[in-house]
Amino acid sequence: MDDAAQKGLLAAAYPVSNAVKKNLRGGYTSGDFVTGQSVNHVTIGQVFQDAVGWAIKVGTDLLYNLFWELGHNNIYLRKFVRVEKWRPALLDSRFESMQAFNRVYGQTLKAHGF
Amino acid sequence: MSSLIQNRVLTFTPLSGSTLGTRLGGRLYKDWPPENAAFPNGTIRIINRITGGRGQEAQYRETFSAEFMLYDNSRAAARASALEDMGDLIDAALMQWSDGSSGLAFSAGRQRDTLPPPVDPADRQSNSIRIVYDFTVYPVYLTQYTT
Repeated sequence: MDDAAQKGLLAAAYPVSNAVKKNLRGGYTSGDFVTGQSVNHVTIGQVFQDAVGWAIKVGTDLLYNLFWELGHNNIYLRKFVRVEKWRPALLDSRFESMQAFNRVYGQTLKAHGF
Repeated sequence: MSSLIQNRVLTFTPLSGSTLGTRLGGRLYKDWPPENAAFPNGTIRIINRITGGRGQEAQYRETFSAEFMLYDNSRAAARASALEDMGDLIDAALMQWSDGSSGLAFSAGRQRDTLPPPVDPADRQSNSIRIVYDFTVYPVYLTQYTT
């Protein structure tokens, strides 16, 4: 069952990752400064175990995405800005993500003879 | 609900030192700080608010997260410590807190992160802390319909 959970989580991460990438395509402001770097740095981590059970992280290795998501004083715009992309993407994709998990979890259990 | 939590946090008297309201000069804003807000300041948002529970309870029960952001425009050691102390004060006010004035609300958990030093285009001198508290509530505007 651990194997099924791990494979299910990996499948569940992709809808979230895709939703985040879709949100990031337009950039954080006018769209005039989009280089594609944020989109290309959306990462899916390894499945890991914590106190609750199995988990997986969808994230980024670009720090500036963090500051756009949580808010910062922008030195160019000279004001506080906050543009959420990740949390809305997680909420928008949660049902698709759950479906992906359920599908792969069930398939894996079946393959193991359950 | 956000006003209840905001008021709790601003007026809570810690074991030592002044209230958060005093330390922030009252600058704990809902959702978004105003233009040119002085520092330090903070924001409170209610996010991920959903109904749910087991069986009949689902009709009367909500869960949500109260997200606090604390911002300062200096990373000097004393200011950074002061910002962390404010985070500690919010922890003291909300962790293990329950309130029955508008129904029953209680805090169930917390995640806290001090953000790493900012990078361009964020002001590199700024400092911020994010704290998210999980709440479970049985608000009176739902429980009034219990039979």
